[in-house]
Amino acid sequence: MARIAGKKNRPTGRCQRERWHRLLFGVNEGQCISEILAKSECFLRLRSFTSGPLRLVIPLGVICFIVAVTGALLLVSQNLEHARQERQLVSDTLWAEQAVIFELQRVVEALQSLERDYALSSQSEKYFHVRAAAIMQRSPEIGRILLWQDHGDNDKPYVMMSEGGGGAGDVHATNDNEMRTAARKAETLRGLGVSVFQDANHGAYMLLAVTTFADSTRQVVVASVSLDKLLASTIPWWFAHQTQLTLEDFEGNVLATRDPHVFGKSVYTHRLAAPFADQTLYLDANSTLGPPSLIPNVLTLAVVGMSILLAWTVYALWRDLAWRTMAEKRLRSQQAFREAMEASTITGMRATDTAGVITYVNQAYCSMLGRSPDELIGTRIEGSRGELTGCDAKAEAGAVQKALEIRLTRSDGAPIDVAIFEAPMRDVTGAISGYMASVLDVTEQKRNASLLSAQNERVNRLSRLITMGEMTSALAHEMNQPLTAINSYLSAGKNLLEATGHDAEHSEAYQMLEKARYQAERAGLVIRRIRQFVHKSGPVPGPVDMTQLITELLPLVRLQAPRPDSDIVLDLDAACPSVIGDRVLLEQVLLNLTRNAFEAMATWPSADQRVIIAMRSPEDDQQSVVIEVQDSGPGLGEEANTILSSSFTSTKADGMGLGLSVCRTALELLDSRLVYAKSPAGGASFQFRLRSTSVQ
Amino acid sequence: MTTHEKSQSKGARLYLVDDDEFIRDSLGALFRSRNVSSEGFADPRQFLALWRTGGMKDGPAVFLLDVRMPGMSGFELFEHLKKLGLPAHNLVIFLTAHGEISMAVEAIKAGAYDFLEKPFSDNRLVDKVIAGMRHAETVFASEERDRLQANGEALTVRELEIAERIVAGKTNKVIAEELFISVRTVEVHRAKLFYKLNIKSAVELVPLLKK
Repeated sequence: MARIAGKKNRPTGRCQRERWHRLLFGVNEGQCISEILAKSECFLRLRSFTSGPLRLVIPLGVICFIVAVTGALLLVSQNLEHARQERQLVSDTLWAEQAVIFELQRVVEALQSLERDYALSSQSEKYFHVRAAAIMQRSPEIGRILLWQDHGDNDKPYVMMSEGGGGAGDVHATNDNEMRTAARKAETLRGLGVSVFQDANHGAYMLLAVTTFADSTRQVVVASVSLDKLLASTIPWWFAHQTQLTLEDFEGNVLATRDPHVFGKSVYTHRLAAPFADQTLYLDANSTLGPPSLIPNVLTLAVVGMSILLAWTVYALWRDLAWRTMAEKRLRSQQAFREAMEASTITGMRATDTAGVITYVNQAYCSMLGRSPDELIGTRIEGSRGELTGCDAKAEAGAVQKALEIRLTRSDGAPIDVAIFEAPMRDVTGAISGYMASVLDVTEQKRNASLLSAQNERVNRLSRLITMGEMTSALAHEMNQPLTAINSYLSAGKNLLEATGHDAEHSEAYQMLEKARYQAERAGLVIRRIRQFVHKSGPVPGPVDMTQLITELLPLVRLQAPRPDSDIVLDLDAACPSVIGDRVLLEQVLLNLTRNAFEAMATWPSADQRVIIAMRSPEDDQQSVVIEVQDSGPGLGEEANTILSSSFTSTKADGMGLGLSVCRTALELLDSRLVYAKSPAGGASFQFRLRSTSVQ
Repeated sequence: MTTHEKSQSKGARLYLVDDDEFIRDSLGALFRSRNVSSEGFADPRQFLALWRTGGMKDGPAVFLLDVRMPGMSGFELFEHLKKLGLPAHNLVIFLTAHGEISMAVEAIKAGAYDFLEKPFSDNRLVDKVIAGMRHAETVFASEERDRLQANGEALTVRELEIAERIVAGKTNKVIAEELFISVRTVEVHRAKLFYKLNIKSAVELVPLLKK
């Protein structure tokens, strides 16, 4: 955050160039990322329109469009091919039918010509043979030509056999009846008579009967035409090769097949009626071609392949973009996270290069020093030499260096104490490129420590005084007893001597007793002087504002608490007047009492730990102030009161620790007394009463 | 050092309460050297118990109490005594150390007669005690007089005459002759008189009739 925020008031010129220099040569990674991100903002703005729903729709649309166009192209071309093939077949079939019909008509014409010529040639038998042979030679489908002559009664046909068609002629020779039927049909029709017959062995054949009625003699020329051969002679091989061609009658019975080895695939079929004379044959064409393939050739394949490639490229591009966007988003959120972390942490972070020039600082470091990042970056660090050499030596071992405490100067000139931990940063080659330092502000900590030690010092002095006072008091008491006895005995002795009468005062024994008594008295005086001395250096009672004292003491009380969140409640009656006392003594009494309270609650769950410091004026005596320290611990037994009221002082540490004894003596020095009671909550409650300053 | 007068106090007693045996013994010796008899008590509770149950003879007395004693301090003992009704002819003198003087002053305000500072114990101490005893006796005597006065108005003229003659040291027989009555009658009057004044001997009659 600091980097981006700093960018707004970034100075131009040299500083800018330095930035780019650092960016390009990668002084430190964290800085690079932030710089790159800052500079990619412009690019991001340009690209931002692709964000949102459009970013998904555009590549998908492109891909769909490519797929649709390619698919449509393929379908259209397939349909076109299909139609073309179909048209081809139809025209081919039509042509084939024409060829068949034409051939048949040619045969009929030849037969008519034969019949007519035969009649004109005076029925020359030889002529017939020659002409029939010629016809048969030219039309191989004709198996037999015969001349039918009706002689009235004797139905004796005149039969002539053609050469070359031996097999076929044999077959047809047996079918004279069929021949006669065909001839009769021609006679009836007085022209052409056509009959179709099926032969189980040799396929279907057609009988063509022709008559002219040239004269009275009814003569009919009959030709048997093999339909198989007819197809074979009329349909060329190239057509027959890719089409299964069959001739059928109107009932669909197959009469002839062009090539029995060719089978159509029933994709392209055409059925064409071929009317011939009174008969109608059907030519059925079934192409061997299959349906047109979707991808008919390599070119198409290439186009499709390229389309797929294009679509994939678009997809890959889109995916890459999505990945990049996501990565960038993640990077940004991570950066934001890092920046937030850096901003939130109270630990100052500072990166320096090997020369000790600052390359990066975080918010905490800036606020610690009271300077802006731009003021700090590029400057050499304070006290760098010792710091760096110290770090270098350890850096080689790769260890985080022990805290180094130095004093830095804030922008306002105030010194701050910091603890610095430095660790080396390494570039890709492993060489040290700089140092990362975390900087902790320990000024407060040091101040607290010195505060604490000052308080401790006062306490030590005080406890020495108190101990000395207690010792003196004990000594005085213990010495006073025998001294009193000595004095009494000596005085008694003197009295007895006096009672003996004359001039007793001047006797040597009396003088000695008097001197001894004087010495004993001197010892007493010495003790008194020591006591006076101790008292003189003791507390000097004066007006003390307890509200202020307790409030100011609170941080020290908190330092004693085992946990920083311990519950310390102040219940101070603001109307209470100032009291007469000694500030240090009272502070120490409160510190000892609260420490005892925390120690008493040490085994308690932390939620139940509570110390209450209360101050109030008692109802019956508005001229005094009662201070109370309560805890929520287990409380004390009767031994507490015994300790507190025991008239014999002892410096030995008893069950309550020295603390209570010190409190008691300190309060006695202030003419007060420590009283123990059970608190309403069951814990311990220690109270003492102080006179207010308003007392005359 | 001057010679001290013989200071045998007639009525007042001296009680010394101190836990230290040698203090009791040495102070006892000191008082004895001045012809003052004293009685020592080591335990303030025991002393209190004895006083409470009437084990001590009523009469003018000085209680010399040590301040620092285990169990019960001299001040506490004084408080207890006051609470139980300390008569005016029982005076309390404290034996204090230097540190306790401020408290001793408080005690005097609360009704103690005096205090004596340890370890400066010599004839000044005895003088103070004797002065205390005198004071106690005076107080007691004035109390007695008040009592006698209250009772004396009940005496008959004859009884008063006989009392005056008893104080004058006259025997029953002489009194009988002077008053022209029988010795037996004098004896009856005398018994009645002693009964009325609650006395047992003629000696006790002397201060009563001094007024």
